[in-house]
Amino acid sequence: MRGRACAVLAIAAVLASVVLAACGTTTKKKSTSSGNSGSTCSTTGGPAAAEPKPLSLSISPVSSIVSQVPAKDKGKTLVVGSDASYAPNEFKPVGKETIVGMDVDLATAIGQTMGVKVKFVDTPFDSILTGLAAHKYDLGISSFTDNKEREKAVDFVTYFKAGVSIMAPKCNPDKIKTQLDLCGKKVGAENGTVELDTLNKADDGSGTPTLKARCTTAGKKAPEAHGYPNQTDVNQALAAGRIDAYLADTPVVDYQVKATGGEFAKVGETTDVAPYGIAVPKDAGTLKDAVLAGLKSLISSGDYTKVLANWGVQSGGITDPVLNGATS
Amino acid sequence: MVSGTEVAGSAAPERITAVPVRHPGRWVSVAVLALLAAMLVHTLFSNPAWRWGLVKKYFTTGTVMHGLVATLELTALAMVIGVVLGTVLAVMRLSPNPVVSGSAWSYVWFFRGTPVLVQIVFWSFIAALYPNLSLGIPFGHEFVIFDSNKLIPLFVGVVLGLGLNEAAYMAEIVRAGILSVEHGQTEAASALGMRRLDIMRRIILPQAMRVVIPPTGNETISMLKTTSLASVASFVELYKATSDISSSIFRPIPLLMVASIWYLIFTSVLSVIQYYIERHYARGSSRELPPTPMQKLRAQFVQRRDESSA
Repeated sequence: MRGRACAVLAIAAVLASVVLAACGTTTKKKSTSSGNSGSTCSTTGGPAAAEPKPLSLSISPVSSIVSQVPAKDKGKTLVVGSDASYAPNEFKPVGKETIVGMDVDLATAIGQTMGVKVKFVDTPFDSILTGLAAHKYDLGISSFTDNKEREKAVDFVTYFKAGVSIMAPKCNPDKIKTQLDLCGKKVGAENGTVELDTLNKADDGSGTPTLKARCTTAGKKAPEAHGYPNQTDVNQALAAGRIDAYLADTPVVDYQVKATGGEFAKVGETTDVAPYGIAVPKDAGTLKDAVLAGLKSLISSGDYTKVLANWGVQSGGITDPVLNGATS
Repeated sequence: MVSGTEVAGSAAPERITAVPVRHPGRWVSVAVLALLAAMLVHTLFSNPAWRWGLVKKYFTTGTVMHGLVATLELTALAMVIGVVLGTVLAVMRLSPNPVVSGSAWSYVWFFRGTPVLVQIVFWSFIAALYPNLSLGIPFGHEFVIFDSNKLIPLFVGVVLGLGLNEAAYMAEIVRAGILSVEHGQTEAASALGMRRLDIMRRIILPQAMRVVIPPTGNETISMLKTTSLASVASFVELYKATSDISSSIFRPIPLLMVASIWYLIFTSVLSVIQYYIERHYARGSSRELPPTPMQKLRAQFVQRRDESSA
């Protein structure tokens, strides 16, 4: 009896020590075989860049534009569905609950030309278009890529253009140079985005092959797609090493590199440059024409460029907005 | 008995026409409920927005099937962790050793006191806290070092999140079961010279099962649905598989129906299993086992036959 009890105690002590030791390691660096040692790359990020402040433009209503606003929306507050996890286009500054960003400033300015107010409502990206169909929102402005698939569900007024970029941890341990290097890797993207479609689907209905299809053609394994509810979750997953890289719109990747003080690195080329569109329900009458006219007046007045420059995204500016300008 | 003959001679009293008590309220309530049911069935089939065609189309799609399997795996593993660890915790909690019972109390306090959603996200992002885990001497040499993300892949992270949380609840359920067994049982077993752990394993726990089973079934059914929280960590289970489809075809309702129907099918199956397990453990306490639905049905038919032959 006595011996047995001692044995049990000894095993318990060993187990406890193993567990304790497991909690002991905190700071050891990932020792991957990528051969970083000797390079000048340091994995600690620098100081984070300061956040830009929202612009407050005051633009007076233009009567020709106001007349295009449908009667039921005149003088009202338009409710805009937006996923506030996509800095610098739409996000909540730390400690604040109001949404700011390039999309918000632009929508506010367009609203001013139309004589209406706009109110941004935070919602997961993949529920904005369905929310529009259910008339929860009057507009959807959330860095939407205007593509043919989405044009079946809503109308778009194009207002910006952006491509897709790859984000990797600093020092790029997997040596990713092109999208094809993502084949077989764990790659994150936000739910409902074109980025997740290209990782997930063999055919996204655009006519151009998706990354998944290109990997298969190249005889490689398809990327393992990880879809998260918000872009902020995707960032966390990369920081925790749950994914090897992620795909997001170029302005967002650029901004995140700065905001994290270089903890992440933008790698490889920018691909799939496509227009952004303001989503308008198909049954909203002349609302889309009013939005288009408002945007055109901002472009000619120069206010459009001011907004873009404020958020550091002037390279995505366009000069000729159109209705439903999907290229793929 | 003169009076008796007199009564017999007089006119016999009329036969009482017994009228059953009327229950107009019952008929009204049946009518109202039947009307509501008819309205429900009608709207299910007349409102095209339900899009039953899409429900049918995606009901057995490959990704939905994979999600379903993942949901069942998560439920099973999380419940196994929950029941085993929960039982250990309950026994620890009742230990006379204050350090042991205090530890069990702290575990339950922490894991029951934080949301399961937070725990799932925590375990899936564990590498942000500990990039590596190792085996070795405490505060000393480390023999083996593991990459946390390899040691705890996403699936394991989610299972841990769900299972460790469940263990806290199961610990309380098992503890209630243990306390429901009369103290005399323990005393009798001690009198026979049994050791504490043996008494627990051979005398107390089997009798506690009767009390433990119904809430455990409840927890299992609840777990089947709680697994949908794993979607926030990008783990593809039934709910995420369906919402991935709906976010690319912009039709949320039919896909929610697909998920709901599958959840209903499996919660129904689980309820049936729970019924039979409960019946099994009722052997010790009731003289006659409650009838199974099949036995009830058979009894009804036998009764009818007896009535008609009489």
